[in-house]
Amino acid sequence: MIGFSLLKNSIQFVELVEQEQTYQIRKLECRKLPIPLTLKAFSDSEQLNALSEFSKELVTSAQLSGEVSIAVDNSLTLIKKMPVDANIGSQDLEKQILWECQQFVPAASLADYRYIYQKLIHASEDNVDYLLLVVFRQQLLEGIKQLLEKLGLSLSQVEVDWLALIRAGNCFYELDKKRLVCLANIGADVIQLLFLQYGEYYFSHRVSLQESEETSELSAWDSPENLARLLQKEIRRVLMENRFDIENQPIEDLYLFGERAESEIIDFLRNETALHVDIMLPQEKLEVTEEVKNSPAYTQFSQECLYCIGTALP
Amino acid sequence: MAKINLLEGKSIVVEPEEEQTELISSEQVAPPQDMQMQEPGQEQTEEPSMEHQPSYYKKPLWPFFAILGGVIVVGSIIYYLLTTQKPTKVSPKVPAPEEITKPEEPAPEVTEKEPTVMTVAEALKVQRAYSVAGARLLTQLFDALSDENMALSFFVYDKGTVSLELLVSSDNLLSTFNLNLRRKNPQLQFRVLDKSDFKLPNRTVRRVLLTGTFPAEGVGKTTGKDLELAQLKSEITKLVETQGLLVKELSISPAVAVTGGYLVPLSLKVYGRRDNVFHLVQNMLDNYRNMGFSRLVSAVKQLRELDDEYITMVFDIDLFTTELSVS
Repeated sequence: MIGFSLLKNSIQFVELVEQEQTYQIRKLECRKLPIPLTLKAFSDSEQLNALSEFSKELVTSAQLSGEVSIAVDNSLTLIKKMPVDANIGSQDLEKQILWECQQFVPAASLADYRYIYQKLIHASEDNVDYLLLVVFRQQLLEGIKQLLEKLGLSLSQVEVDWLALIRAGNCFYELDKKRLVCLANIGADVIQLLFLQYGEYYFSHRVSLQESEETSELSAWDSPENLARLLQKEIRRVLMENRFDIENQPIEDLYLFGERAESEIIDFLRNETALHVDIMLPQEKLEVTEEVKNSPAYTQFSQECLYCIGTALP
Repeated sequence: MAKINLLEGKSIVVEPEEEQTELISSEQVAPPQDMQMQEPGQEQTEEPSMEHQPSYYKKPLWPFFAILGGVIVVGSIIYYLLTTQKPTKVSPKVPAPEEITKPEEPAPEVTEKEPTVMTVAEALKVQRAYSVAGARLLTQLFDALSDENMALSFFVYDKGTVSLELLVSSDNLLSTFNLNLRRKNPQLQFRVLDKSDFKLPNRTVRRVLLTGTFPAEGVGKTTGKDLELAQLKSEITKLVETQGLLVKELSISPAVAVTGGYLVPLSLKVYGRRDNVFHLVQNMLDNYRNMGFSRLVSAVKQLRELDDEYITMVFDIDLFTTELSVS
């Protein structure tokens, strides 16, 4: 099983081999992209060629072959939790989805988009179901198909990085809880918060460090304490915005990962909050070959490989 | 969660655009077949009138009609109450003091109700959170009227729910309104309850009854000062007049004891330019930290055309105080 993740600032892949009751990481690679990944990389032939050349080097040196599952950055798609009547008919549902899509996509370009949805099993209440709707440009799929063709790999699945992350989390940690579980990706310039309930997507929140209310100076966030305080504040804010009674501890666990998920941040949060705070490193729960263990990708970027591990899982 | 494989995604099916009519005469108005209401005596068929609405609005039918009936009755009463007053030509300038209803300054009584479980602080927190959301929504609703062929004839905000009557020259503009609104407030869950024709003096337009829910916003602002009971009337009147609005009514109901203090319900009715009324809503929240709106009702006084800028607004206000003494 090969899992690729095409994220905004990096590209990663992992090859997992199923073993008795676990998986082994046989290959792992992670590289920073020279320019941030946008939709243009999949529509502009020059950019697509540059991306494929960049990726080819990784694929060739790792001697990858076979079917690949890809997780793409959530910023390239639109994800919406949509309430619908539990008894809604398929035609009406299509109209409802069109209505939802019309809220975000200009009417003139609706035909360029595709959608897929899944019912959130544990979110149903009374007579209302919640669907997780993913809307994306056809162009994105076409670009990914072309990329894989250039790399000589065959494409089996494409999914959103967050959903791959949820799968990885559920596989290696106990996230199936009544109270919320928060997965926080602490990046160099952005914090992404993903809230789960019963192990399913609940809501998400993104904080740009450059556009933060506190300061626009990225250097201010060099301090782990400042970053931890911001994280604490944003979690509190997003909970209140979603009408949670924060006095009743709506979050049970907070898992950090990503480029800036440092131990100082975890220590600060553990001291300041009653939350169970931990770092998320699923690769520690997997078998890893010696070759991978000694590779720079494993030592430097191990916290960023959650998405490709998630998408490689069946 | 099972994988959501984008390779299995479907194309978005786009329905053909309806033709938009600029001005429609009553003769020209023939509701599209999928929206025609049943004639009296006509047999109920398996394909009822609101076919283009999602089926969950149709089944079962009785709650739909109960809600619709309720909203129409409430709306009619509100509209009647707001429009039965003698029409007055109001300039946006400060109204003459004698125009202001001045009921006797009450020494607020306390009702014999059992104290509620909620403390003053808790009740105020919830009230403010909804009030901030309500004030924001009010502006968003009117901002969503991006076309001169769209108007809101009445609007009722009630702690997290909103009901409104939208008048549009064509059904296409309903989608435009929804689109405008959802862009500003994607969390607003919004649905159409009914559509019918409405006659203006020179043309017939579509009347759409909508209802929606929206979440409270954070803990609400806590800016401003405490509005004292003793200065309540003079302060509010001054604030209303500063906005160039007319106070049509200001009344104070008996205080209700809550844990740690009292809740004093007020009712304020103002008339004037829509934008000024919105400023008043925001100013009241900004200026006084111990009050929130339990209900906001707005109606156009005598709708002659869709671009009427003058509205009447009734504010049901909850004032939270720890003391009832009036100096």
